[in-house]
Amino acid sequence: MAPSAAQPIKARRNRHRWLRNIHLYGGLLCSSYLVVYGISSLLFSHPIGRLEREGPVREWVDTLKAPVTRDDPAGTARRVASELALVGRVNAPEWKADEGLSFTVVRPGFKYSVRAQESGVVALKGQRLGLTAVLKGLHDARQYPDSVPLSLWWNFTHITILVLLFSTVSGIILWTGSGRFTMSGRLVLIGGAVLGVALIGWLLR
Amino acid sequence: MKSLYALTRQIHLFAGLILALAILFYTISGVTFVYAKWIPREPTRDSTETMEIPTAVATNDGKLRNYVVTRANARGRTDGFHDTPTGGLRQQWNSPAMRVDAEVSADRTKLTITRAKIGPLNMLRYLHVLSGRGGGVGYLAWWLVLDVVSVAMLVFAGTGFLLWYRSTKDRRLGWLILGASWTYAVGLIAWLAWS
Repeated sequence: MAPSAAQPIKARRNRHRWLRNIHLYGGLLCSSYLVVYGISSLLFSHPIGRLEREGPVREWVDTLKAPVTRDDPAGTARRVASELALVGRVNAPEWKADEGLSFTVVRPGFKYSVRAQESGVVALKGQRLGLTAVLKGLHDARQYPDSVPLSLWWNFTHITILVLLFSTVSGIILWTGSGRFTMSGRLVLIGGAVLGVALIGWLLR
Repeated sequence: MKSLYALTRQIHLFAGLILALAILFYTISGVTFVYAKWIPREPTRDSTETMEIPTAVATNDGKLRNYVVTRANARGRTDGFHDTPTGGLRQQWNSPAMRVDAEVSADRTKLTITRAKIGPLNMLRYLHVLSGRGGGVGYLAWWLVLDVVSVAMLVFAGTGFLLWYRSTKDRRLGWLILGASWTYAVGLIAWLAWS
C-alpha cells in the first residue's frame, strides 16, 4: 500500500518542482521586461512633461546610388530607408510635386523625416525624442524586420506574454499546493476577481 | 533575515492573488495590440434615430442641452457640447461598450442620435488603454487598477529576485538568465536613447 500511496505524492512534488522552476527562471528572464512595462505604463498613465525632452533637429543631405522612381512609393521608401541605414518603421510615403518622395521613419526614441528627389539626392531631418519616448515606444511592441536588436524585443514580448500567463496560473497552483492555502489568501483571490469582474461589468453596462 | 524573506514572500503572493485577474486581463488585451496586424478590423453596430425638437426647448439653450443629454441617455466620457461647422450643436460620449453622438441641426429643429456598439475585441483594447480622469467613479477606479498593476510589475520583479536569491543555493543559472535579460534590455534602451 505504501509505495502506491507515495507514488502520486512524488509525482505531484515533481510537477510542483517543474512549475516552480519555470515560474522562477521565467520570472528572472522577463524581470527586465516587466520593469520596462511597469515604468512605461506609468508614463502613459501619468505623462510628465519635464521628462519628455526632445533633442534638437539635425539636418543633413545624402545621395543614393540609384535614382528614385515615382512608382510604388511604399516600396521605394523602404529601399531608401534601407540604403541609408535608417532603422525604424516607414510611415506615410507619398509623392509631392515640389519635394519628391516624402516619408518618415520612426523607431522608439527617434524620428527621421526624409525627402528624396528623383535625382537621388535625399534631404534628411533627424530628431531624438528622449528616454521616455524610448520606453513608451518599447511598450508599443512592433515588428522592425530591419533591426536585429528591435526584432529581439518583439520576440521578448511573446516570451513575456507566455511567462506572465503561465506565472499567474502556476503561482496560484503552487500556492494551493504549498500547505499555506489560507482562508485569507482565498478571500483575497476571490475578492480581487469579484471586484475586477464587477468593475468591468460596470464599465461595459 | 527570515522575517524579511517571509514578508517578501507574502507581498509577492498576496499582490499576485489580488491582481491575478487584472494581470490576466492586461496580458490578454495586450495580445490584441501585439497581433493587431493579423486581427481583422471589427466593425461597430450603428443605429441612428432622428427626432423633432419641441419649439419651447429649441429656443432656450439650457433646456436644449438638457433635452439632448436626456434623449441621448448615454454613459461614459464626454468633453461637452461643441458647435459644428454648419452651425449646429454636438456632443459625444465614449465608453468601452458604446460611442454615442448627438447632433442638433443648425436650425435647432432636429436631433440626430447615433449609437455605435463596440465589439468585444475593441472593448478589450479600449479598457487596456483606459486611464485618466472623466467618466465617473468607475473610470477612476479602473485608472487606479492600471496604476496598481503597473507598480505590481516592478514589485513582482523586485520581490521575485529576492525570493530567488534567498531560496536558491546554486545561483549560476539564475545569474546567467538575469544577466542576459538585463544586459539586453538596458543595452537596447541605451542604444535607442543615445545612439
